[in-house]
Amino acid sequence: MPEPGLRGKLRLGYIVLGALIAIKIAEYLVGTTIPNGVWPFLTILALVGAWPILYYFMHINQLWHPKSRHDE
Amino acid sequence: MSRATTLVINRLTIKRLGLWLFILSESFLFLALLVVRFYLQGVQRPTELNQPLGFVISGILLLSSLTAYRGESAIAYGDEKLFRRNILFTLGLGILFLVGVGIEWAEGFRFFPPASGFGTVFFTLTGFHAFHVLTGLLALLTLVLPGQKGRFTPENYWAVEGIVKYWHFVDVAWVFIFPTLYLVS
Amino acid sequence: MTFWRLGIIRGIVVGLAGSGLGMGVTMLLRIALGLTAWKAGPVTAVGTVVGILFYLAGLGAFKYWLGWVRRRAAEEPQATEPTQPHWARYLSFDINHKTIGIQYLVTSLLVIIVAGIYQLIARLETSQPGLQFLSPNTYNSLVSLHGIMMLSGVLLGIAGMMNYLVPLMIGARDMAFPRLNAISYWLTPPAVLLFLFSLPAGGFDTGWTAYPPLSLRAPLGMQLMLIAFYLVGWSSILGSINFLTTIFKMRAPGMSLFRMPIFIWATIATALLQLVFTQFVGIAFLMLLLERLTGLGFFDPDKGGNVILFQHLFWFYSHPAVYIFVLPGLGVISEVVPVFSRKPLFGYKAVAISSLGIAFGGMIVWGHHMFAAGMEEWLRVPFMFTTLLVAVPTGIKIFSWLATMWLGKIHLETPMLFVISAIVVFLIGGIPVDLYIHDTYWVVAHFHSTLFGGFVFPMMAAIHFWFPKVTGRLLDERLGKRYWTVMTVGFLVTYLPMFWLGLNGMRRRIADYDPALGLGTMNTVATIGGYLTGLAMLLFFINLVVSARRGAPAPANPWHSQTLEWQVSSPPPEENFVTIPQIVGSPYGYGIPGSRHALIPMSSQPPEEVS
Repeated sequence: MPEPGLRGKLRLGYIVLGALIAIKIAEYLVGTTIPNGVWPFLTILALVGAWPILYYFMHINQLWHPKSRHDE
Repeated sequence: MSRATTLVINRLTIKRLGLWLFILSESFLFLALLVVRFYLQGVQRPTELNQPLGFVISGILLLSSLTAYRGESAIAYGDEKLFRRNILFTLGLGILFLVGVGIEWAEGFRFFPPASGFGTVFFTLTGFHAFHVLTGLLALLTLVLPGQKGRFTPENYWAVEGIVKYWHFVDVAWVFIFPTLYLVS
Repeated sequence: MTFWRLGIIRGIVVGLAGSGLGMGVTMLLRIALGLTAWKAGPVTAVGTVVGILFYLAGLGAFKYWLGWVRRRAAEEPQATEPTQPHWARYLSFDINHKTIGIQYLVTSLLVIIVAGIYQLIARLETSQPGLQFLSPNTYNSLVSLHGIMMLSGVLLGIAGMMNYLVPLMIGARDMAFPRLNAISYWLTPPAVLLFLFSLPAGGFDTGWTAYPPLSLRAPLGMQLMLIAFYLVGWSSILGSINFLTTIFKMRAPGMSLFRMPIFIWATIATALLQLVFTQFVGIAFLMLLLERLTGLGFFDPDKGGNVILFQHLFWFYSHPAVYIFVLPGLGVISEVVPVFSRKPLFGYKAVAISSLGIAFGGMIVWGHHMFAAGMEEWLRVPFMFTTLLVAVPTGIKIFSWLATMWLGKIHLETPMLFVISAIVVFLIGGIPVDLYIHDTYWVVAHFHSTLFGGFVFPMMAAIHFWFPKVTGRLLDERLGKRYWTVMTVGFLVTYLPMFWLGLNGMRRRIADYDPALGLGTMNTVATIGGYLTGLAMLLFFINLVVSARRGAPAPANPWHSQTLEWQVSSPPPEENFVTIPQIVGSPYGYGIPGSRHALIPMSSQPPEEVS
């Protein structure tokens, strides 16, 4: 995070959402254009899409890096 | 660090661990449902399934995750106005998502009724997920009133954090359900 | 005091009202949709669910959170008024872990008695060939209820032991989430009630496993059982969240992972299994319920379903469930053996890790229940292999107990006697079961031995061991030993004939069998054994009740144990520890001069030095 404080966090949110939407579009294109055998790609894309939510939105690393304050 | 502060900090990590364990347990529920989908139906998918609509409601849910994140970040820095606005946005987007699911269901009843092979799987997965969305919405609703009264501060906003985490989890579940139902073939 | 102040009374009254409301609204809705007003399945299902929510609200379970939403600062709810007698807290929404532990244990014992009585009735029927006094359907309903209620009773029993002991053993004042803990408990009384109503509502003749398609056609009793077990399942999921968080975050200073008593290790393994796998049986039962109520086609091949799916989901939970049932019991054995042998537990680290080993091994063996069910052929060998693998950590434990007893100063008091029975019986239960004897009495005898060895005898050891701590009074040792004798003999007389019966072709879940098979005598012997066990339980309850009222006052540490719960008064103070203890060593340093597990500053009595 280059920019500290609330502004930086809000910006990070937009970046994460952008990435998530990009993954969704990729998923959608894969699912609608390729007729069959797509499930391995979709699995990978779903895992890739779940990680930013877990990491940036849900702060999963708080579990192994407990911080004294709420911020992270 | 005095004894009292250590205890307060522990309280927060305790609550976090508890919530994560709950989320872990719930994710196994969704895992079981995904397994059911593949066990019963393989990768079959009826052509009547409304893929564009599914895509749109996925986008709505992702967007609601962003607003929830913004709400949590705002209260962490004490910006109450931004926090309240974003919680309301999240509620609105969540309701919009449920409306989308409702439209899907209306179509589903025509093309693949619940008693058919794909219908069983489709209505179960979307139904369980919609139930989680509904509980998430109810939980978010409990934040509105205390939020108006200014009860949350940067030092004490566990309720917001916990409920927002649950909301993100509902989104993560959909990240897996959407391709499983709409895209595999 | 007024009755209305008791949480359970409020819960029942409000719950019944809510249930009536739910049924009424459903019937109105059905009329509005142009259906007949009354259809037992959906109407009672909605009534049950709404009733349970109202019951929890009436009990006061949501009071704190509702207060939180409405008010600025929520105050701690007071479960009982000071004017009420002390027993009132056991019938109210109380959040102290010791109260909840006792509530769990009492409920568990009640459920086990009822389930036992059901089986004693059914056993009388099978003691001779021919139909005596039960119809085959009633017989099967009784046996099925016996199964599912015993399992629920066991789940409640282990939850009770863990609730009472975990905070005390790790030096915490309470569980991590006391209110959630109370909710976990209070989900179970409605479950018990539903189990009891199941028989009048037609029962269910499917066996406790509830395999479709039979369970889809079974009477209303089936539905009550499904909801009831679903409640018990959620109770154990919420409970395990609580145990894991408590153990990971609230241990007393100095208690590293390898200074925890083995019972705590067992709790971790049990809770992990419950947390993850209960969801699978939950979803399987919910799918059955949905298919019964709404006609979704999970298990109906005509609608694209598959009955084997249920068995996979079901055994994916129910095999780990066996380890859920026995792991706490094995933990209790590991606690009792060193105390009564006056020697450190042999191979502490191996035993600690083996609990987790059993848990992880137990996750991948479910298929051996389905060898005869038409499961995919290629899965057989892997399941056989994994099943053999689980035996390794179990073996580690047994050798550790034997090595601990070896050359120890063994004191043969009642808890130790039960532990010895448990080890022997558990070994009998380990005799492998083969494809050819699937669905015979061999299987019945096999899993009852495992459960007696892994749960019943250890739980009895636990009750005799910790009773002085819980009540502050000693159990009658003479009666205890008599009870042990009758119980062990009763067990052997019941189940040894069953092994023989199984090999000679006696099938499970049948009310009648061909006299020409010549199985009558052994069946009679088994029945006599069953009633002996019942007699033993009667002795046990007499001992419990009489000793709790008139037993000799117990000192804080009657068995000279080192673990933390014995270092506080009997019964423990409301907050467990006035000052949080400091852990300085192993919990099992018996016979080692100067060995100490904990230092308790400023407590009323110094921690005991053990020789």
